Amino acid sequence: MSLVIDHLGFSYAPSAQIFTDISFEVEAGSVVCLLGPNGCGKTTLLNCVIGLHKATSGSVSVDGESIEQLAGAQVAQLLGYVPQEITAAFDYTVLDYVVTGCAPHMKWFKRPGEAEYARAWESLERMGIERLADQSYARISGGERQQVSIARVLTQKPAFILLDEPTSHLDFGNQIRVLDLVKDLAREGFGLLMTTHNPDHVLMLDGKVVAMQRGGDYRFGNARDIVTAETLHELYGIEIAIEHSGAAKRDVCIAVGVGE
Amino acid sequence: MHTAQLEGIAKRKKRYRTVFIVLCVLLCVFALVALSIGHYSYDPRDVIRSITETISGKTPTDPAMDMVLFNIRIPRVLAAVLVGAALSLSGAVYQGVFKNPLVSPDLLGVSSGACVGAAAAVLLGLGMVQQQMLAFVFGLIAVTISVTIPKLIRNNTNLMLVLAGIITSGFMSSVLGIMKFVADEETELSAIVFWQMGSLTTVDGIDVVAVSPIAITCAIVLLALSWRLNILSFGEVEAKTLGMNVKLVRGVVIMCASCLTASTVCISGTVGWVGLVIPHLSRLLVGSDHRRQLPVSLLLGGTFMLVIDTLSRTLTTSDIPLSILTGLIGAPFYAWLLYRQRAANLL
Repeated sequence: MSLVIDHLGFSYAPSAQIFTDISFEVEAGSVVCLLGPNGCGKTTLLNCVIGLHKATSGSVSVDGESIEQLAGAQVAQLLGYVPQEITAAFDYTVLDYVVTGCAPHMKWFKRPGEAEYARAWESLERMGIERLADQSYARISGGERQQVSIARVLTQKPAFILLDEPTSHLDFGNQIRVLDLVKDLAREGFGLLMTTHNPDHVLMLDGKVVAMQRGGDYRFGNARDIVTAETLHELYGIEIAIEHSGAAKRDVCIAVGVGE
Repeated sequence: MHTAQLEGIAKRKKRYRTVFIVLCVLLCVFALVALSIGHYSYDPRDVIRSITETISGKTPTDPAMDMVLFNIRIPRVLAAVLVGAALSLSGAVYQGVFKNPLVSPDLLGVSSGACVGAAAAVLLGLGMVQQQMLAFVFGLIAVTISVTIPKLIRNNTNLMLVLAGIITSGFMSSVLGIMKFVADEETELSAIVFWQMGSLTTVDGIDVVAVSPIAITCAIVLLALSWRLNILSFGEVEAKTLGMNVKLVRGVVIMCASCLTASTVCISGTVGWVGLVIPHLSRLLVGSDHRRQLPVSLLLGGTFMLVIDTLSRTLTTSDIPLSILTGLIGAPFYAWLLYRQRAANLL
């Protein structure tokens, strides 16, 4: 299976093009990272892929079938989304929140039963957050909420998982745990597309990367080829070094300074 | 195994069951009390006997009591429960759809529309039945205008819907103002004002039978969709990424809740506070999950309205308009609820 983003363009107004022509592919069992400075349109791109924004040009398809032609529930079985920030208006328990991941697989008037709750519980276990199960979703921390949100997408079991900065609210340990999970999920056959602000995470995941610049220029390729000192300098305008770490057995990315 | 968490979840379930059963019992008890007291007061045991006799087809021992019960009190008790349950259920549903616990069922203009319909009937000198029909129709017309405005502006967000509701309500109250202005002070104006304050004085069995099918159908649909309502209350974006047809589900839910409100407001006149306060109270009792909150709102609202209506007809010799009592009791109660919710960190 592959998720194909084909000549995608988006603008809020004709004069404000966010990006004009982006094409890349997410294969099942692989990770693609979206890297780029603030405001380059990473989240907008994710929103276009999932169908929250209507792309002004181009198309998104899974195995040749255009996402636009599919019903909502069908899309949700193919694509799952973990937004960066979620606000809670009411205080559902974490388990009741996670179980809503089953919705795309259920009929209108059906309610989650034992099978669905078992699936939700499994996802909580996988994230190692069963301790939160009976807590109010409105009263857990931002980082915990992010983990709960990932647990829900695991319950949803889509073919492709889109994550918007899944590590932004997490502590150092949980960041690495989530990256590890992302790798595991890819190994299990999920296709993953995630935005990140940390080039080192891209190296760590060692998949493919779309390096976006403001204005819509981008480069797509293997992380090792794209994440170089020059590219990162172009993206962020600061001095960055890529060095080999013996302990991590991989290249790491270090910020040297703002430069001149 | 995380038994503590599982226990916590089981405890919530048990709490819901307890609350549900207690409310059912309370409703029955209050219904019996309401049937027994009034202009003529009876022994509750005689009331039960009289009802069972009539239902089983026997000749009642006390025909006078039987007539009072079946012609006046039972329809009135049923109407009170129906109105309270309907307003509370649709209030709870509106709060969920609009992700906002401060919303009441008249957000999209049902009540102000119904007022215009009822006032028009008064001015045209129409009878009770026509008045109820006009109130119902105008209530739904107002909601239709509210949901059409965002479509015309091509901005189908919740916020636009709320603003459209404000526009419609504002317009409708001005139309009502014109009607009051031209109404005959002695007769028509007082009739309009009395309708606006809500009353079940004139309700009879036919009214209850006429509105029940619509109200019950809508209530069943809403209760059946309660889990979907949870997802809708996460907001449009999340609901959409979970594959929900937000426009369709929201449309169905809003239409059902509006029909439910309109179908009961047309027999009772507008009644304030119930649709706002009761959903809050039920959330405090069983939490926000609509699968539990909606049935509890329904029962609690029915019971509350029954108590209010019984007070309204027994406190003084003439019936006190319902909105006066719901406001006097509801407003301070709401303040207390907000205080409790603050204490529980829910707001």
